Amino acid sequence: MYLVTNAAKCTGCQICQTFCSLSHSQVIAPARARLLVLRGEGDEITQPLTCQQCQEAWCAEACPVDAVHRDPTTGALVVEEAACIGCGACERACPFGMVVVNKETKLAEKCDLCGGDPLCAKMCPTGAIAVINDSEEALTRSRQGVAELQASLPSLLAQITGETVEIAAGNRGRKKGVTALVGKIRDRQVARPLVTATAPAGQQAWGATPTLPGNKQASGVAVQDAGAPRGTSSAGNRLDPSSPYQGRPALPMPLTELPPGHLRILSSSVAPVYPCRYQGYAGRYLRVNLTTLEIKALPLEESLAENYLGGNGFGTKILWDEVPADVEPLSPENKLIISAGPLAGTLIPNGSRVEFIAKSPLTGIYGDANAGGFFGPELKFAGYDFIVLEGKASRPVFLMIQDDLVEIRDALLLWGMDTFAAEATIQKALGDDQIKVAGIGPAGENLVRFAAINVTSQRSAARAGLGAVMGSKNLKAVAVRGTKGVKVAKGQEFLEFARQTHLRLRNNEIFPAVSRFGTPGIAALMNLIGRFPTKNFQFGHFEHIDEIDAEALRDKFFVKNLACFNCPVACDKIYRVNEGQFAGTTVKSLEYETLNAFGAGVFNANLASIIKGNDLADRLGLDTVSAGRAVSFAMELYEKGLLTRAETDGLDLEWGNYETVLALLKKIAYRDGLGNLLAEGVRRAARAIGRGAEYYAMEVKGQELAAQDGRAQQSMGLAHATSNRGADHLKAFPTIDETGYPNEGRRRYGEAYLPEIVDPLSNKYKAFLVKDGEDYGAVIDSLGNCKSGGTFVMAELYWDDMAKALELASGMPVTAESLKRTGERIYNLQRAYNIRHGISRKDDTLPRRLLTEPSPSQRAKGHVVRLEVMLEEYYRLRQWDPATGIPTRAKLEELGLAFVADFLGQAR
Amino acid sequence: MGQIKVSIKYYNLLREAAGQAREEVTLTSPANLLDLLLHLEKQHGEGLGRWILNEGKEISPAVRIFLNGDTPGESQALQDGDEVALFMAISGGSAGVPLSTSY
Repeated sequence: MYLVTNAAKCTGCQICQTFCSLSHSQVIAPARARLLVLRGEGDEITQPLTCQQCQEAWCAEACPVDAVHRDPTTGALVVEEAACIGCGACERACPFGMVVVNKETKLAEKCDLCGGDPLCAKMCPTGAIAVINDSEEALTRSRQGVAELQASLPSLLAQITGETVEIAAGNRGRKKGVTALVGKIRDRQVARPLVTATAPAGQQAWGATPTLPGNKQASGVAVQDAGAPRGTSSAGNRLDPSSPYQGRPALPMPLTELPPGHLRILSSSVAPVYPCRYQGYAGRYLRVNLTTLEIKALPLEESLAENYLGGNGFGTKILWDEVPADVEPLSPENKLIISAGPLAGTLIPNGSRVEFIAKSPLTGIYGDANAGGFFGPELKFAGYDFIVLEGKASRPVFLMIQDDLVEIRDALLLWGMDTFAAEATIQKALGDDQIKVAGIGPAGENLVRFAAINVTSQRSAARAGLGAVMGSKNLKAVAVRGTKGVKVAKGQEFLEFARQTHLRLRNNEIFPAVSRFGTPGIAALMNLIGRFPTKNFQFGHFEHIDEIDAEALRDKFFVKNLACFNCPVACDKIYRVNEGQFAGTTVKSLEYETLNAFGAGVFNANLASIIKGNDLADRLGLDTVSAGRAVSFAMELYEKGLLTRAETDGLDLEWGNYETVLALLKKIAYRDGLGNLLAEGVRRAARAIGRGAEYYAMEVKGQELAAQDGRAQQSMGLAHATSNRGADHLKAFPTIDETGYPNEGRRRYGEAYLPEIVDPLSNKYKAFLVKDGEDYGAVIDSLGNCKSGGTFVMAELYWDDMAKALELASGMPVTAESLKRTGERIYNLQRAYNIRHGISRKDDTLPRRLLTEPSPSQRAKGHVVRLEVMLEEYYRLRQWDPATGIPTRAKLEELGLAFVADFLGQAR
Repeated sequence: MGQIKVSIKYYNLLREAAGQAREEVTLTSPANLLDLLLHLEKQHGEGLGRWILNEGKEISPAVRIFLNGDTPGESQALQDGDEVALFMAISGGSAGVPLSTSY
């Protein structure tokens, strides 16, 4: 038997590693898997590296006690644990770094082909790892594999790590280089100190040498200089000259030129480990005061887990408890909570999510945003459920977490950089390209009210302007590196259940199209039903859709599929513009929302410019939805004569002028001229402009509308009106009625709700659909899972599944009913938080255009959003006062929120 | 009985399966949507047919059909000059029909 790999099919999801590690090591930790996924070159390389079960078995030959045997049935080289003495001879002998001595058990670990049924191959959703069963062919392929790896691995590793190694066949002494490098990628250096060498003096390129703000040793660990050279660096890694990073040296700058003191540690702490009754959780969290530079690691309260799950549930409760109504969102008193849920970092698809929660500078109420990628799992692997960031640093800083070691570091060097450059600089300066970074760009620094937090240069936590909250705290980034892994309560059962959920997703009839096209795949369909906002929601249909839809994107720009952690869907794609004005622009994801915001929304049919806009927004740290709406708002005002050329800094705001779109993105991020006005969001901008501009501000509660014209899908109208973070489709995320999915409607809700519940133009049952979605969404956002990975899109996993997943992972008794109650609790607490800020029924509304201007487009022609009829039913189902929209005491008490009723002064 | 011409526009997986974005087909009237899909399967083979028809040769619940911009009933008769758009469903729900993974 032999495992054959195909890099071209690998999406980098690490499903092989997560299943392998739980199966073999009883912990979910890619680092503990017996195979690796190599990743580099801006994620354009994603490649599985497996044991070759070499015929010339160097590991077996090297073993002094003959503990490595070949299994006669499978041909696998297997370590006999009883005989292994943990000397490491096999580890040193393996030319490919595929044998590792476990530092805890002191036993050698390597791939045993799972006794003949390799889980990695079984779980790989793309066939990037496949099994050769025929023994003759397996022998041949193994020999070929060894030869190919010997030829290709050194250059591949050099490409990924920037370090040079050689493999000399048959000379074991010289193979250490590869083993060490693979080991480094494998995350084995749990105790490896961060680089502490001092940069050469006298090469200070710019700015003042950082000085420490007061308590240099806040947590008792000496302040060190750090961030100095490791490996080689050259002018080759300079940024593209068109980068928005302006007026500073191109970065990442050669590390030998780092000014002394930059990135140095201002405060550090070694976090203690706390026992936790529940698995799935790390059992501890961080509280970091950026004013005092104090870092505290504290035990997770079990009652918090029981009542609020994790993710945005935790964030909601902390906001309620600690950030009262009089706190300004951009003041030091606001708090930013970064929270992964109990299923983040686990095998349940797709436990990739991390939540950011704070009071929103855009809406002034509850704000959250979440992102996939790898940051959330990494936070869990480092051993933290969440981080509370409070106060304000006196100068730019970033938080660096490496397992138990937590540091606040100087970020003056990073301030002003775009998000990608900052991430690359942190990784290079600290000598570890596996560091996961969540950070802000110039938009966040300049307190743009819809600034995003860019997460691992692949995803963005974009909505609600939480990037500005980071900027207001002088917090450039949070960087995390974790090697501990996540434990689950019932390992074997959990693994089997997770396996089933993956197979269900992969067998879902919608899976192939979602996988192949990602969210852009719905653009043409939504256009056809008149739901695709065009010219700032004047229309729901874009006549040039063929030029910007998923098919055009795939035909002209597709490079490869890219997954978030543990996701079989891989809806991210790398797209690259190969020719023309924007040649060379590469993005790692481009969503439906961005296609609309920078495309139809502004009447732009130039797809390459949309890709460029996406790249620019990611680098600048802007929410593409709000930024696009800000631009389309300005364009409509220009069309209507409410903005004149004299007020646009000379920009031509004609519909479809993509040069203007790109220029405005930069002006917004740097708060320049008209950009400064738009950076406030369309609600504030409209009030400042006056002259009736409010009518064209497409927002709810201050947040700009995403790309769902509710006139074509009534449930989306209601969803935008009621969402706790202002206009938003993702809280309720009604998908089954987009184009009518009767089978799923039947399965989830029962025959009685058909056909209306799946009819996008019907109002019937839509309040029920939205309420259920909001409660379920609150749970998904709290568990750490993704709504595009089977819970909403594809609608495969529902209450029962998530209850079972949580119970098996945590050991907490959970039922679908108890989980529903928890979702409702979290949603009601968010609502109550908003009530504290003056929100009431009057705010649960939509822009007048959607309520009074009949849609001119497609099937939606003649329809407005019939909001009131849905709202009445919605309040009734929620047991909120229909006059005020405030949750009743009875409802709050039922949900265990009596303290909220007391706070709101509700009579008993 | 007569001949009608219907223009077809393919999207996402169906565009790849049909190997083209648009085509015009001639059907014998009267013809409904199922007749059209059976015709397309015959013309393009199993590569397209497996997506648009289920094993019982009925219209697959995973295919989305628009007729002149609106959603038709399955038995709706086609007229000369009709425009049909064919998509594979790409959000919403599932009928749980197993299909092999394909990137």
